[in-house]
Amino acid sequence: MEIGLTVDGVPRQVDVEPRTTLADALRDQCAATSVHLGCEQGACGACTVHLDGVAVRACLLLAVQADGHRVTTVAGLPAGTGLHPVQRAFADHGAFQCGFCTPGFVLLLAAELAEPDLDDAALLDLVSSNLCRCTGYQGILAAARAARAAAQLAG
Amino acid sequence: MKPQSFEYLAPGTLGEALDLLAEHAEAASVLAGGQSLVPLLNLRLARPEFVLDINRLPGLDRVLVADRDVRVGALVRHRAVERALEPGPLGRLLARVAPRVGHPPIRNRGTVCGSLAHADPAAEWCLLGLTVDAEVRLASAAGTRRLTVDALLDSPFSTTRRPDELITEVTFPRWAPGQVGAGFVERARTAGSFAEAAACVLVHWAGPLPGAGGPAGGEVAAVRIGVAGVGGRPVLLPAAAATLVGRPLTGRQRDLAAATAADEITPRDGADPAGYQRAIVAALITAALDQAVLDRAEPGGAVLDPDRPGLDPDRPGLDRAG
Repeated sequence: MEIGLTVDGVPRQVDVEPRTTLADALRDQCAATSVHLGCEQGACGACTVHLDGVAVRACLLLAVQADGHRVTTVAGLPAGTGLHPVQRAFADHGAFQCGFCTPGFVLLLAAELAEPDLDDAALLDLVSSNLCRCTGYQGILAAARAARAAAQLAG
Repeated sequence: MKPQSFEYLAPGTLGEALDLLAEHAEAASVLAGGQSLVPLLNLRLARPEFVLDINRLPGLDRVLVADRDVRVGALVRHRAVERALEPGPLGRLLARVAPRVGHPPIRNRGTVCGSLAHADPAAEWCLLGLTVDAEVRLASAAGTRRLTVDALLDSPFSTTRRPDELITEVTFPRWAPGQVGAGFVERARTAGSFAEAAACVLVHWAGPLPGAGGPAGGEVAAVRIGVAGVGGRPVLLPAAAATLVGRPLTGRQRDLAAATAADEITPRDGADPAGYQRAIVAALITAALDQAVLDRAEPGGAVLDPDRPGLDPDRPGLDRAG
C-alpha cells in the first residue's frame, strides 16, 4: 500500500505492507534509524516517536495508520541553532551511556514535560515509561527535572 | 518478530464497519488504539486474516456527560480520562484509575472500550467497569444491544461479544456527591506494570454527609467490592460487601469486610501462595475502603436530580492523538 506521511518535516511516499509497523517503515524506508527496536511489544519505549506532536510507541502503530500524519523523530526536534532543551539537559546531566534508549527518552520527555500537573511523583512515573539498561536512571531523572523546569517556564 | 500478513480494512462509516464484521466475523480483529492488539500481532499470538481499523469512524471519540451517566465512545483514549470528565465521584474515580493504565505513550493511543473488549484479567477498566456496574453498547449489522460489564467479561481475553459485534461505547453511572465514595487500589511492581491484584469499592450511604460523625458518618445503604488478579476475570465479593450494609463504616467494619473478602476469594493456582493472595486482597480492600470514606467527603458536582430529563450538550472529544 502506498502511504504518505511527513517525517521530520519532509513529506514521504512509502510503499508498505499492512503488517509493517511504523517503527520498521521509519527505519527501513525513511532512513530514520534513530528509532530503535528494543522489544517490539510496547514495553521498553526505545521506539518512542511523536505522532502529530504526541508521544507514541512506533512499534505499536501500523505504518498505514500514519498515512496523512506527521511523525517526529529526534532529528526533527525543534532545536534552533543548537540542541533541544531536553537534549541539552541530557548532555549536562550524564543521562546516557550507550545511547540506545536515548532517542526514545528524549522524545518522550520533549512531548510530556510541558504537562501542567507534572509533580515529582508524576515525573518519576513518566521516566519509568522507558527502560534503560546502562545508567540506573539517576542521570535521566536529573535531566528530566532540569528540562521540566525549562519547559514550564516556556509555558 | 513481525506480524503475519493480513488484509487491512479501514471503513469510513459505522455501517460499513458492521457489514465488514458481519462478513468476516472471527477472521477479523478490530483495531482501535492497538496497544493490546499490535503486541499480539507482533508476537504472532494473533493471526487474523483481516484487521479492521475503526479510527476513521466519526463520532466514536466523544464523551457525553448526561445527568445520570457518562458515555465514553469507542475511540476515547485512556489519556482523555485522566482529567475528570465530571466533577463528582465518578469523574474522580476514573481520573484516579486512568494513570494506572500502562504509560503515557500507551495511554495516548489505547482506548477504554478497547480495554474492555480485550478482557485482560488484570485490566483496570474491566475491574472498575464491573464494580460500578457500567454497561457497554454493542452494535452489529443486525442491531444493537447493551450488556453490563459483568455480562461482557467471560474468561481471560475472552468476552461474550459476538464476532460480528463492535463495542461502540461504555456508560458509567453518575452518583450524587456526599452520598457515594469510591476507592481503587492496585498492587503492581511499577506504575505501568500489569496489576498483580487490584481492588475497587463503591459505597453508597443512606443519606448525605451529616454535620457530625465525619466522612464515615451515617449508615451504609449498598456496597460493591470488586477484585482483579485472583481469577480469570475480575469478580465481585458480595459476602464482604454485605458485612458493611446497614451500619456506619467504622475501622472495625472495614477490617471485617477485608477479612471476609480474604476468605471469599478463590486463589488462583500456580501463582503466589494462597495465603499471600488472601493477604494482598485484604490489604487492597482495606486501603480502598479508606479511600472511599475520604472520597465521599470530597466536594464536587451539583446535586443530581435523577428525575430531570435531558442531556447536557455534547462535549467534544478530549482525544488528542488524532
